[in-house]
Amino acid sequence: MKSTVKVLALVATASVAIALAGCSGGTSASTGSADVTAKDDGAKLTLWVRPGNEAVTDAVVKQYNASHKNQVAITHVPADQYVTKYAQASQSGSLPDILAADLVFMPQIVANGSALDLTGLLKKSGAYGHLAPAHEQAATANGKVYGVPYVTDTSLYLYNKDLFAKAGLDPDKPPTTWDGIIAAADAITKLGGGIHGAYISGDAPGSLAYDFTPTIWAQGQQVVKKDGSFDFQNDATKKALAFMHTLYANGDIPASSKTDTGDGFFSVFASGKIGINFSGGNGVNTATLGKDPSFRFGLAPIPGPEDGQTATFSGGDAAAISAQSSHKNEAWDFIDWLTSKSTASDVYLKLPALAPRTDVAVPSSLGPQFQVPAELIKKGQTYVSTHYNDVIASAQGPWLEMFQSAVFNGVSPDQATAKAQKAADALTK
Amino acid sequence: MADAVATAPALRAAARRTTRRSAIARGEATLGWLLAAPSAVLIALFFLLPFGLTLVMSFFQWPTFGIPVPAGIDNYSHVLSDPKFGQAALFTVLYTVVTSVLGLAVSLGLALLVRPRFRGRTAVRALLFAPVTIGFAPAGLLWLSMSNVRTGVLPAMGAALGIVPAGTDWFANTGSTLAIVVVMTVWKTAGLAMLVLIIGMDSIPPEIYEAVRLDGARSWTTLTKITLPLIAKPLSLVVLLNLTTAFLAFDQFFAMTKGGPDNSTVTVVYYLYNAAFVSLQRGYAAAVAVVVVLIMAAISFVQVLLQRGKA
Repeated sequence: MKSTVKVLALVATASVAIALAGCSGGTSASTGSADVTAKDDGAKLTLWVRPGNEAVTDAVVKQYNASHKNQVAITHVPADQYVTKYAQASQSGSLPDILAADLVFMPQIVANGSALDLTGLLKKSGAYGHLAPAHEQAATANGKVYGVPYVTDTSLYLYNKDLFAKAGLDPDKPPTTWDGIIAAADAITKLGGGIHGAYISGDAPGSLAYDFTPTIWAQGQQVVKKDGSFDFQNDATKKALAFMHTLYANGDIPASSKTDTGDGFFSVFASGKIGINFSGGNGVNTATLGKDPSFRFGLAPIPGPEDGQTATFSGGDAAAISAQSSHKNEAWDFIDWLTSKSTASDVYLKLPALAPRTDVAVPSSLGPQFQVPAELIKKGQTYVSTHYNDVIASAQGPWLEMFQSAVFNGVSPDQATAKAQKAADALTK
Repeated sequence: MADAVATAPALRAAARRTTRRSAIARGEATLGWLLAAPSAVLIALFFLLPFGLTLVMSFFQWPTFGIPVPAGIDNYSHVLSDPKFGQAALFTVLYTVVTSVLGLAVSLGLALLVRPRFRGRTAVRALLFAPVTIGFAPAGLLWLSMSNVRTGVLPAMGAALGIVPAGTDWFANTGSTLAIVVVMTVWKTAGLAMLVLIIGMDSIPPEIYEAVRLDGARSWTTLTKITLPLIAKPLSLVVLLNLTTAFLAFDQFFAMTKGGPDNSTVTVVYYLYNAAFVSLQRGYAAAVAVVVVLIMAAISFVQVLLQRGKA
């Protein structure tokens, strides 16, 4: 009987969380910002961020705290608990002054009315229209902007120049079409000795949204419809899945990709045994690979099937001022500072990290590692759906199942996309 | 009359004794209530109240953001008709059976092995018990890093010994994935079951073994005819402990497999987690939680019957 109590207590613990999170429903209206002005009067501000980007998030806050009377205290909320904790805090009125989240969760925060409308303030400060467009897209509703870029990143592919040279390929001419990628990957795989032509973290749904979606977008096809539902059953998605399957079937993508939940996102490429890695820009600069490379590598946009077709997922974190905050003026002081040109050039680019603004030139001294992604961010796209969490990010969601079944398990793209469409429609109905 | 006179003091004495006894009983009852009160309050606050709320929520469409809407028994009919729940339940049963049987065999073997006195027995027992002291999540991460095809030592060892080809990804198919999680679970839980069984074995009077030895019984006969029947209750406890722990498995799968490959290792609690914290459908998740509680209550009921020797 003791174990009964124990096991029931386990379920009860989950029940407490469920009950607390769900005790009250409802949404609050967005709050205007007409009477908000920047104030640096020594207020203590609270800020939630997800872990993983400390090299940027914490470093930027440290510099703000060093130069201001206001002091920002960071809380790192685990990414997979962010929405739940946000929901609980939102309903109990205990949100932090500033909410910084993975930009894909911004539509949920905006839809819930938790964020302050920043449109007027950003227009006044001059930042409006000069911020990373994907972040703005994710934080915009009904023509109003509720969030700004905090950490910017963008998907692209990394390629090993040494392996390109060994395989007789031109290290300065990365492939610009799918056929080019397949040909290059085949040539590199033939080098043998455990070397593979291509890599993608195939069991990490968030990573796949980041570095596989561009192959669909590059064909001019959107994945999210205007109403926030998803479109998987289309030719572009089927072709993109077939392209990835070809790489896998040719032996260019190693079998271990199927079970990589994200731990190999950079590390596999860093081993020096991968020719082309579908990956990201900013992360590479904070990884050992970027700081102390043991081989020459380059960065290039993720292409579509035809030459000239490219697309990129602009990821990272967006920051918003909580509508519940009692320090809106001081929180705006932080956001105003964060989105200024001087912070972009004097703080972000000196870390160095990609800046929230797109109108600040990246010094040539930072090299292509920063210049290539900085250019891509200007055309970055993202997912804008309140169902991103269950359709795309979930390890049991239709997005991952579609990719895995078509790329690794040999299910036809027709069948895989039809199944994913049905499952996604059921979740978003 | 004389009898009546003679019995009156005896009756009065009896009445006094009864009053004293009932006063003691009342005192004991009050003390009992006082001692039980903190636990009762905690159970009411952290179990009965939230469980009541969960029960209420299970009859609503209760989105994380938005207004709850009464849903009757829709959530329950959805749970019971969702093939993914069925698949999760089937997998959980398979995992539970495999883990429980293997766990019992290993813990029984270990108990027999480390029960006799030998030099360093306490240290060996402590080592075997050590994995019990860490949680499933860190244990899962430990085994994941050891079994990872890119970074782990186990695949490299397996290849060096010629057991598996080099570069074999053990998490790429359901069978080997399940095997790794089962091995990890048994490694982590066998120590506790072993201790329970050793305590059971130690309670068997040594005279019985002496008599059996004089009768010339072999070790196998001693085990099957004497030891096992006499530790039936600890054995049933271990079996049901294994069953309930395995049925509620979540941490190890979350840490090691994320439900993969191809969603083939999703347990019922993982399914519950997805409903509550990924899809954010609190009402539906509450219905799943109630179904899980009912299943656990049924298992616990059988446990009680077995412990009373009525089953």
